[in-house]
Amino acid sequence: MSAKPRLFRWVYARRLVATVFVLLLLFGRFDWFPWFKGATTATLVAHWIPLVDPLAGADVLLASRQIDTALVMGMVILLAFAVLYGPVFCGWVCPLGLVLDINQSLRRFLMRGTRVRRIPVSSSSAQWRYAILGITLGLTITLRLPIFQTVSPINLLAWAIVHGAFAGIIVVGALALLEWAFPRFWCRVVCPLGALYSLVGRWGLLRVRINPTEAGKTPCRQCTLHCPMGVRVMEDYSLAHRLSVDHPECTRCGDCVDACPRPVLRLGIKRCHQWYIQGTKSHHDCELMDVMETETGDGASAISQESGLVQLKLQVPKSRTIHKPLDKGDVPGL
Amino acid sequence: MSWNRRQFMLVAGIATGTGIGAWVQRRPGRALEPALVRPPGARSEAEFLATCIRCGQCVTACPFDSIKLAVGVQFGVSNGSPYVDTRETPCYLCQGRDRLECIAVCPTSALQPVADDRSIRMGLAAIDESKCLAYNGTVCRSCWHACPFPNEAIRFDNRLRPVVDMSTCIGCGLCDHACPTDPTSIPVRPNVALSTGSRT
Repeated sequence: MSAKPRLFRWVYARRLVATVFVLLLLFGRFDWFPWFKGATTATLVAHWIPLVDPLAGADVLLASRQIDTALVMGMVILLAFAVLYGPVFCGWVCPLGLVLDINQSLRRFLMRGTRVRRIPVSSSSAQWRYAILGITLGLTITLRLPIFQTVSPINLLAWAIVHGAFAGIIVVGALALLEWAFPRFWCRVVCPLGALYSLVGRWGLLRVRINPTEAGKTPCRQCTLHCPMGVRVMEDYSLAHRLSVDHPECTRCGDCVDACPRPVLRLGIKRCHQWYIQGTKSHHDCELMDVMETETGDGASAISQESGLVQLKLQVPKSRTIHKPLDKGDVPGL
Repeated sequence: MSWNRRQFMLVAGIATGTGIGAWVQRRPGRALEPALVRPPGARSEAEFLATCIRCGQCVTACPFDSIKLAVGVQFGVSNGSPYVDTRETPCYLCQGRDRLECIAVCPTSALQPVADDRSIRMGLAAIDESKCLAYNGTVCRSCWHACPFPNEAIRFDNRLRPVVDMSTCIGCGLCDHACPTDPTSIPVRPNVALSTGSRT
């Protein structure tokens, strides 16, 4: 069963944003387009806003062993965005992500009807991303070279786009070929940049939200099957009575939302950031407030009464309860 | 899978990477190959490679397309860094502009501001006396004509043969570009020999 045809899909929006980024990179090589200069590691936007990839910036700071104020300023902008909204770069901007995403669509299209078994790259293998991030940082410290930046396929692709240096395309092509056997191998298992964004974006406000009154009515598993990062959305989140997909590897790409045939999932902004939660309000209350808002249109008043929980309980099927104690390890900030 | 696991993997990775790096560092005979002529204002080779973020903004900013991006296996650890192929397109020191564009756009301190054109040290021209026409009986002053500092960086000895003054030559490569012999008789040597980095 595939997702029902819809006018709007997150995949369109997502690919549009990434394509615009690629076009900006492409135009940046010409003198008549001064508004966006540079590659994925560092760019200058509109003549004065410096954007520096946090990992590239960290690599340079560690390799040169000097604090470069201009560089740190450029990193802070992207880091702050990631802290606020989560690892959105992976799902929405990364040019390599766009290529590998289209590669997967192509694979699915060409292999349609043949029932090719997906060789699973389970989401627990994502821990290797963090090890690889650590190894590149460690190598950078001792070798005094931003070693990942010299070999990163993201950079290789960007150099090909910006400077026409097509030598790196071979690596990207090999990666795309490899991903026909191991779907999204780079993003799931290798990418240290994604790992860094996941680390800093663990409290990000943009989340795939779960409607608790709809969750689990028709467990079709489309969300899990469509997740490019291998997150088990249905098993671990929707059926576990969670209110949002808090998996660190979630890139907010919206593929599960597109795949969901019922109004269970939506991509939305959470009400309060973990860092802003005062002692009175718990993380769970914050989530409830959002849910109440979508249910009743007035989240704040509903949660202000002590009965907020009870109200919500009345709306969900009797066999389930919202207030399940959450798994301490997996929920950020609990 | 919990955050603890991820954080453990990160810390273990840093430890492993540091260990591997220290081991690689201790192996003898490691040089910064291949040596490349860097854009003006570049720090010593080791510091430049550590600081350059590989964004290529200097490449797009260069008004003469002198700076190229080194992409390929042959460039080794310099992959993605900028270099100047002086034989093909030398550095014209942003003639007609009031600043050196590559230094102005560099987001890191890899390319550092220079006081004036004379304090640039991109490399050093060196005359190959076995090929140079002037050293082999032909009258030729191509390099002297091209040099931005004639009679200073390139002078003539008493037999009208060009001589490079090592303390004045900035390594822009205009002489290399102008040299009529093929291959060039006045190649520009990269700055690696001059750098004081720990890895040279």
